[in-house]
Amino acid sequence: MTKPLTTPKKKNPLVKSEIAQVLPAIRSRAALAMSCHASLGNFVLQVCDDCHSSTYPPRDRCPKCWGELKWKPQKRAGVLLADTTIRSTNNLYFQQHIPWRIGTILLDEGPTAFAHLHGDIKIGDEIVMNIMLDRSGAPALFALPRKASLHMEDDYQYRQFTASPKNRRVLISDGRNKIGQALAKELINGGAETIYLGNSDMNLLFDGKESLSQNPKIKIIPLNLLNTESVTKTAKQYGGKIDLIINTAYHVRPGSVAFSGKITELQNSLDINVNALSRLAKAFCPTLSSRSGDKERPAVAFVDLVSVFSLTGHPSYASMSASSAARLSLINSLRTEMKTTGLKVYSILFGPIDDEWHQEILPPKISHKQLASTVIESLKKGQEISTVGNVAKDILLRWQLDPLLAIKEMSP
Amino acid sequence: MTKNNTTLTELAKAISNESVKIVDLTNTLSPDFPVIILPPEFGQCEQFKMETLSRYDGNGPAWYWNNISMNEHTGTHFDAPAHWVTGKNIPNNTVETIPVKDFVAPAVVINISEEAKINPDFLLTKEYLMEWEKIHGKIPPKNWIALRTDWYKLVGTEKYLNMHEDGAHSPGPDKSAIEFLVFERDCLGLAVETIGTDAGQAFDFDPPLPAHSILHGNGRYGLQCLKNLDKLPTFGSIIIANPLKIEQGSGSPLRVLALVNG
Amino acid sequence: MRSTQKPYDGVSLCAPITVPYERFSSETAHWWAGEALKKLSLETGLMPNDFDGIIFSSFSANPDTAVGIVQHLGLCPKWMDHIPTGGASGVMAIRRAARAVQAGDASIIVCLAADTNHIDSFQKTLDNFSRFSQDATYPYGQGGPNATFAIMTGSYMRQFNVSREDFGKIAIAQRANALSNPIALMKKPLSIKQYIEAKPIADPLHLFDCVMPCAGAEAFVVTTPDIAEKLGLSTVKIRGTIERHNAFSEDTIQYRGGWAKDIDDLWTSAKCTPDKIDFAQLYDDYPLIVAMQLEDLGFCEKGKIKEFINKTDFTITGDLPLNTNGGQLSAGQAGAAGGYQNVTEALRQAIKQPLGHQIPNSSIGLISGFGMVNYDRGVCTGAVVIEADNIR
Repeated sequence: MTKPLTTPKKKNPLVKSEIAQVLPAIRSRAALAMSCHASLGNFVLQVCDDCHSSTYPPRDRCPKCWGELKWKPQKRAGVLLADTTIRSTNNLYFQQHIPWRIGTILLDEGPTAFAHLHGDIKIGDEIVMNIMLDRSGAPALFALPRKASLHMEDDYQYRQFTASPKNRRVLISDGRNKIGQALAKELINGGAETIYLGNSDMNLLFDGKESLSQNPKIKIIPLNLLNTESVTKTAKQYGGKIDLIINTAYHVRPGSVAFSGKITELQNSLDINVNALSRLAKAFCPTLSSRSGDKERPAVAFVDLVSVFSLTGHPSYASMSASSAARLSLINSLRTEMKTTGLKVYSILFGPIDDEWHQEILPPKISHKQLASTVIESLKKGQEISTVGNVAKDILLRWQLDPLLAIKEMSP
Repeated sequence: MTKNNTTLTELAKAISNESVKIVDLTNTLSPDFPVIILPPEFGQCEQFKMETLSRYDGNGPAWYWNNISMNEHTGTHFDAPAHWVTGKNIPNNTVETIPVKDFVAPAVVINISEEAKINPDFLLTKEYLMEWEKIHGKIPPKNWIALRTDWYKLVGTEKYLNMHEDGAHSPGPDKSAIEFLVFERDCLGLAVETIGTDAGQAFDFDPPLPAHSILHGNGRYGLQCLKNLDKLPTFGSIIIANPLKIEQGSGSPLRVLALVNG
Repeated sequence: MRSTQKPYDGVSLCAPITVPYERFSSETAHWWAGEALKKLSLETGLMPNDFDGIIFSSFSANPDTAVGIVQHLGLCPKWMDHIPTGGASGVMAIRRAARAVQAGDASIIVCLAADTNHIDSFQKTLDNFSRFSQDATYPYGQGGPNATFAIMTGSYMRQFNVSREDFGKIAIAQRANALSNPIALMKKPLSIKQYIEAKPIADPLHLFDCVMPCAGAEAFVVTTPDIAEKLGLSTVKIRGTIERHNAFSEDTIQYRGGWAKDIDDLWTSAKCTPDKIDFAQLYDDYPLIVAMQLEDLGFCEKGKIKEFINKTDFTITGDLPLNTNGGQLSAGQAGAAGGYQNVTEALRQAIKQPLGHQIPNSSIGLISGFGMVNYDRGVCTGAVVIEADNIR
């Protein structure tokens, strides 16, 4: 039975903070392929082209017939055969978290595997297997109860792999725009403790400010993403109190490359979609990553929202897609950089939003609420790369299958 | 020694012993200073941005300098006639072609601060000006018309832009006032403490934005986001306002000073 | 297709050497190997040029393997092998060296295992242990094999109704045996209470279920009976051997080792049965593995180990003297030398030159090796039945 989360204790200022540790991160190339699937929340195993048997751990040829292996989605079902609770370890990361429970799972597809265990499963129970990314960004198996149990996401071990906003203090970088506001609402529903809403101009009214100001969980703070000084200053003041950052800065204007669209829009787009991210990361990530090992209130993740057209370009939204491509590249670099710190980096890829700048786009379009909900869901599941809406899901899939074809298929 | 030299020598002495004081009419240019906000479908005026290149550090051990960027109309700034469509064909309408003698000129201060305090949308009218002249005297030609509203005291608060759902609310001239000042008093230009020479609600006037429209259409200038107009006498101060010599510039941020008798 | 194992005529095992273990050592594996060879030369009179064959095993000689050791220590062999299989390497060394001697490919082969133990040796070994462990074992909490064996032990206990007390009896008997071994690292007797109440490592394993890593070296010589006689060395002969790797991969959790697949062949080749065995030196990284070997090697039926443990005295003077130097659990595990120390202890007891107490009847012995937890189970197994030959 998982104990529900309680409000974390206030930090004792006289006790030294725990430093952030990461797990052993070396993996073979075959194993790293699992991490791509882990990012997307898929469960995959290698399957032999010739004899079709599944195999684990990751390897380079089939152990039954030496055929070639391909990663394929597989049934997540399995059963817990045996377990142990580790009470003493020479691993610095796990030393911070013992007692730690692992076990051997027999997957319905055949292989057996070591996995981290959710507290609610016992020997003989049916489980559902996830591939998640552990604190070093490497793939790890995590077994959950087949039927979601009460307070399931509050499980201690599970929370080391996820970034649920529950009881956490969240910074929304652009709290003025509709995305930021929708997120604030969803975060409150998701049990966040405090939401810091970044406001680029404290002296300028914005639509929705009134009702947001009235919520005691929401604190509107100055944060001008286009000004390094402002971001640095806010990070110095609030960085020690923030567990989760969501970068909602987003600039979109219709316009093509050659016939319409203005270079001033592109410059603006780059500033808002790319430089803002750079400023945020520079100002906040060092602080957050040093706190990622904190027992009571660890800093857990940096979340960035980016257009799915960062992958393909978009003939009618050229500036936005170009700056989004740069944004995606920056966040990918940040993710690798943060691997040694334990701070996770999430990317939420979204399609056209149903707002004033996408009036000429045909449905399906997503709502701000959908975007916000997907962010929360991804954080709860520990899924580092997610898509919002059918367009984004479709484009990512096509792009994975054949990137050049996906780009070719973009029609004006 | 010619007569001119004597005047300048006297001026230098006066500045030195502060019998002529120099008043700074300029707001500090910083990333926090607000800019005019246009409807989202139009290009927006960029706020002042600053990135430190080096500050006695690895990037430059013995020096400190910054990259800056802004719009020509960011912060305390000068509007040239080319800024408005009505002035697009006026000769010498861009900053680098304006005759430099226009950059040093006397100013008349019209004080509407009390009225503006009560009503942020207060409009200066021809009628008001004519009443004003009855008390203070005729407005001389080729003067800056400095509209004192004490609006500079609101910088740093939301009351400066005073943006509501129906747009901004700040004082300015109506069509009659501008026509009077341009055609009947031959003014050099309009100098204001608000964010625009036009009132906040002027986009709704008929014609819209009369100050920009009529001033620049007639080769006159604008000065915006000034401060300390309350330190100037009604008559007799000299405003020094030199925009940057930007090629084909429509205006620029600048340092605006006033010489006043001490 | 089963072939009959050719007998091991014309092969003598002799000159067992143990370099006393040290908990931590600033020396290298090369130094420990050299120390073993030095002791060997004092015992046998043999110098580098006298050896024409060498087998080397180590976890801490990186980046060197047998080649590096050969040049480092001045040998010029015509036959060389590197056996990196930890606890199974001693038994595997016997099998390879014996056939080389029989075929005339070499005539005096030194089998040598040496490992140092710096502060970070253990972790370094684990970090580079195997692909499967780096991908699928070490990220899961332990960073070492304890958790894997804990899972296996728990499963075994449930499957065969074995209790911690049952395993404890093995650990306690081995500790009692170690008390007579002057170079065992564990010197205090162990009670069942201490065993049960020891610091928990990973459920159900506690401190005394785990070996103590240390530095050390072990060596022995494989040669012809004639050469052994010329050197005046007591000899032991080989009656039969088996070896098997990656057996029973379909078992979801390991509860039996490769010996179970070939055990009948061993007793057939050795012309022997378990009841004729005077002593057993079984690889003991964990009491579970000792228990598994007792079953898989035929001392009792699978699943009957509880009964067997409870009715058997494993001390030096008991029914089945087991790991009579204390085993790794009490003498220490010097890396790969752990896979040779059961060989040297068997040889010593057979030629009546024990480190501590002598087993009364020590004519026929069983040596068993187990090693290399590549992922979730020990992959390598092997066993040798030996018999005392000429005691000089």
